[in-house]
Amino acid sequence: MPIGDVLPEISVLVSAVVLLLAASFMRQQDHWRLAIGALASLFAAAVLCALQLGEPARLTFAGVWALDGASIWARLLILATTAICVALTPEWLRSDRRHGEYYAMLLLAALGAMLLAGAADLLQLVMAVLLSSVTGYTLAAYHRAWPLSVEAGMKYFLVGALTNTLLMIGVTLLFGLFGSTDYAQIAKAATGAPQIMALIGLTLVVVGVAFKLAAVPAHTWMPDVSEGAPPPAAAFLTVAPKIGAAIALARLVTIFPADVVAWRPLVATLAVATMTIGNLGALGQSDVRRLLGWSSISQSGYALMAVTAVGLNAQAIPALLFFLGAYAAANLAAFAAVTQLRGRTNLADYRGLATARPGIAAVLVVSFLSLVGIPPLGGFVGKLALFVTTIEAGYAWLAVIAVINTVVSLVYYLRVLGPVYFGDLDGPVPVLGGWAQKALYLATLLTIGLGILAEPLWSELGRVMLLP
Amino acid sequence: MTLTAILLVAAALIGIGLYGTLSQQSFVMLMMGLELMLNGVLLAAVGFWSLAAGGVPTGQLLAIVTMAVMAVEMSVGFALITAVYRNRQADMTESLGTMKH
Amino acid sequence: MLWLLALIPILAAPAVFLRAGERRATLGIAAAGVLAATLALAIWAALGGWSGQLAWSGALRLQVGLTDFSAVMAILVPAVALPVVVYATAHEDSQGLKRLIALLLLFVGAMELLVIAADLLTLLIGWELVGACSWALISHRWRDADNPAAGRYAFVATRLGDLGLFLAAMAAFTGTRSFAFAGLGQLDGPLQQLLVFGVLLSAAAKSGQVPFAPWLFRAMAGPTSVSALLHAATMVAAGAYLLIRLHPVLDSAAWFGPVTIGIGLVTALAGGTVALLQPHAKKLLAASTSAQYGLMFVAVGAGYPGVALAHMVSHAAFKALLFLGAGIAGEQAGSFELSRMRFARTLPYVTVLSAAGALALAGVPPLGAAWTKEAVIAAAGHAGPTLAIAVILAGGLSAAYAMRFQYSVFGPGDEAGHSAKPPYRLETVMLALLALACVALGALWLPGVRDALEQGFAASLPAFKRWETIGSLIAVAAGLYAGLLVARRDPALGGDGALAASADWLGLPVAIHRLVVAPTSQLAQYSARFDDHVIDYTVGRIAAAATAIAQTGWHFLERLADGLPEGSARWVALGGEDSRRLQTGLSHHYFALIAIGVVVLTLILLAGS
Repeated sequence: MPIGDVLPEISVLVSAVVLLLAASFMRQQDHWRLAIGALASLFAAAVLCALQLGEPARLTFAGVWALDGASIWARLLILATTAICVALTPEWLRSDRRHGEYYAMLLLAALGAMLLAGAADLLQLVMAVLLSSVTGYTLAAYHRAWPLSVEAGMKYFLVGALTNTLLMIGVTLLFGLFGSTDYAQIAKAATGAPQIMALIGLTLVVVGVAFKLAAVPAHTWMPDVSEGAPPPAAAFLTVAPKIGAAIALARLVTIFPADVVAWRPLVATLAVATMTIGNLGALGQSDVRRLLGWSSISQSGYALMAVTAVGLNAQAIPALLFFLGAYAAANLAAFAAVTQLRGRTNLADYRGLATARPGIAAVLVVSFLSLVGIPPLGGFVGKLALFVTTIEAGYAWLAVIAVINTVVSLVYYLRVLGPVYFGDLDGPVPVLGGWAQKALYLATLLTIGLGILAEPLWSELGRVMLLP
Repeated sequence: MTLTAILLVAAALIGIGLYGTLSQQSFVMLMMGLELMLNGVLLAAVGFWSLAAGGVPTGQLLAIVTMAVMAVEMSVGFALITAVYRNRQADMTESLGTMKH
Repeated sequence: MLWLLALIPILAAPAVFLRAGERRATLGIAAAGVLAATLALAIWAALGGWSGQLAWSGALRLQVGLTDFSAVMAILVPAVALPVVVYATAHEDSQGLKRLIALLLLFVGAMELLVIAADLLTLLIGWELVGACSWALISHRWRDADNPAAGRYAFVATRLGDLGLFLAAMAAFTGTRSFAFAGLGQLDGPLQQLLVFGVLLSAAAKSGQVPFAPWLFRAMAGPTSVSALLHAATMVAAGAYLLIRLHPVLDSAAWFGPVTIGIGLVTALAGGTVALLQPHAKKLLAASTSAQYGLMFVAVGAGYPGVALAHMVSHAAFKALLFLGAGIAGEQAGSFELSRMRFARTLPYVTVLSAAGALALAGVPPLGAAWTKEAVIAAAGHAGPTLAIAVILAGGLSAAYAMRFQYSVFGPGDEAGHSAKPPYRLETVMLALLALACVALGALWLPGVRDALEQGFAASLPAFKRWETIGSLIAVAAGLYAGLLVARRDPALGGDGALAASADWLGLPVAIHRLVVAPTSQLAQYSARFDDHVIDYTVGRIAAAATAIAQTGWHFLERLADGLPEGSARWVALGGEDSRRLQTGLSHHYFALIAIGVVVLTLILLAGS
């Protein structure tokens, strides 16, 4: 067995188990040390992952695991995201009795997202979705005594349980029709006119992945989780599974020839519906965390544009990766700001923030403008790459809708920034502490850096390919 | 025993389960519906494996994975139901609507 | 080096905000220093022919450079901003003054960036910055809830136009793989049409042309100095400047000339009428701004961007002057109602200075503005005598409202009625500087200057025809008389009744509200609860269908519906009388949504395959 090919995953898994054991033996007030352990193991996994960059793209483990540029970059991105989320945690959960277990759960959730990015087999996809979902429910409901957190976890679970079941039905249908769950085998068997059952199966699997991506029609959990989950967990859940799911979806749909199975119209429809519903939902929000959740839905819609273009344009996957990276940095910065503000979420409470905490206010500006796509921030390059890719792939109408959506999105981001700078301060603004602050500035630097250093990154990503 | 017969039973299980999921509002009943659907999937997977796919190992694996999905989802689900009930004395989707719009 | 032109004011803005303190004198000196440095640098840059380039990535590079026209503009912006900002330090409320001055500096820097831009990307950055600054500036006195609303209105209206610029940039990049102005000439076919359309749309919106004109009225909610800068040399000027800068590219589309002339002429005539009917001093000036920029559009459309630029320069001088004068008068009267002013005795110096501006607006020789207006007439005449007559008519209108403004605001009146404090001397000095500029531009009438300009800018100027000049002078005289009549007989004209509706842009805002704003907000309201309605509607349809089928005698289905658990009856009933209880936040609705989604997605796949 080519164990070496999954060393990053193994190291994450082993450290999760070690952390879990350590947490049960350590005193509660020492649990913050486990954060350092988690960071170290994430760093080790990232190094192991980066070592794979030089190797040629290939499928391993009897074809179920794809080791190509797309999966490696996505996994690196997930590891970085997780590291920032770990750094947000120690002060937030200081008084939680189960503080230490949180890190183990977070690492397992990250593992699930990483498995999604590399899945080249339906069973592998199912396992990845399951691992990432089950840990996700737990993370969302981590504040067991707080009704909103538990409600968020419950709703996340209900939507997830149904879509996972639908995913299972879809996988079984595809297996029954094609006699295999391996992508390459299915692609070989799926020639000629498609059967209705195969189309239904594909739809069900797509909906199953759309749940992880928070795309329509399984997007409803995202605002609730974003509002109710502990902010460090919300930061993770709005970003990491999405990265894995976007790559997984791209890998999944391309196994069917586009001229036989009309998956491009399907994904384009999902993109339009997702970005529009996300934006419209965010428009009237007066709760910042909930607003970020809706905005995160709309960002999934943009990412789906790149999936539509996969196969038509070689730049689609690089554009998708760059966009996901920029989105991850900006969204993490925004959630880090919320965390550092001790979870302050009512829009009215943000009045005059710029006077009391100019640094955090500036971070909010940078992250929101990057989410809109204003130069010279990372989000701008990401969106530009997406739009250009989509137009070149012949989907200009999709790009036009996305541009209109982008313009609309400016409104709700400015609705937050307006009070921050022009409102009157009301009362003191307590903050969390040093860990969260470092994570906050790191995410902000990444947001700016991705914009300014776009060129070398882009040329590196340009070589990325997608198997099979 | 033909594949068609097995698939008919599986479809009936999935259909009843789906109906239960969509119509029930008690968490427990709702999860029973999901469980029924997964049972249907399990039956279909085994049927496909033995009668259509010629006994490839993937089919057995699919059946095991389905069972894993059932077990894991149900255990996490009931843990959450307990937490929700402790918190809010709620056991219906209707009484869990604080967060909306 | 050229980057400094934009960077100096932009970087100075936060420094002024954080370090300059609250004192008016300190702020004034700091702002004046920054703007004077920018002005000096602009002149130096224009003489030295600087340019600059910043590689962002292989495909994306930011370029700046100066052409003859943009050099004039780069000098004009700080030159007008200097007196206006210094005036602001003396004139505006001390509350938030620091922020106002910093934003004004930022505004100037953004405008400079827009002016020196040599590619669409740099232009867009400046363009967006200018838009954002104008929003913040118009909403400056945000404690009054109307002002932020006005800022938003202006922002959204111009944003609509910005969409055009994004479109143009995308077209350019798709066609030439770069954003540079230099490559735009290679475009052809639909992409070229898209580019021209996008640029024209954004220019018309920024410059307050019909049908975007009403935003300029709402923008009057900002402080006077903001209005002065906004109208004279920044924001509004950006639209016309863009057309001048890109004229060679735009002109290659056959429809560009006629359409631009059409927009400009309609705006000039409608704006003139609106201005004449306006009883509010600042709004009168705002409408006149639209009209004057309309004239510039006519000149560009007729193929004479140089003429348009000349008119922009003279307009900048007199419009800033008039706004600043109106600000002082408004301070005295406590409002901007024309019927409550007449300050010739109270404010003798300001009256004389403002008269220079008003005469320039009216187009009375030998002031420079008169020459540039004649040049616009000649340019229009080049495209057709009818157009020349229309522009002459617009000139007559401008004479009429200029007179109405000057006589109502600074006409002979009671001294006793007004006892507010006199303006600071500094304010008057700044007015004098601008008035001096107005008068100095009269040099354009000198015989040698015209030839020098033609050679210096390598641009041809249209020949003046005698009948046009005579006709124009008659129109100006008639206009002045008409304006005097209005101001004397009916100072409150347009204050109420049917004329009041016309004074508010001939009912255009109402039309915009009915046709655009109301449907959009309606849509947004509906969509905000999109999930609700989709579920509601779909469930309603399903229920109706089920009932219909059952009634036609499908006993089987009926029995099924009876026999199934209570939840199902509820489910079907949800669509009927119970539909009020449908609210999101409930997981079973989410389930319904997923189920519907799966069906729809499968149908899409089926239809496509």
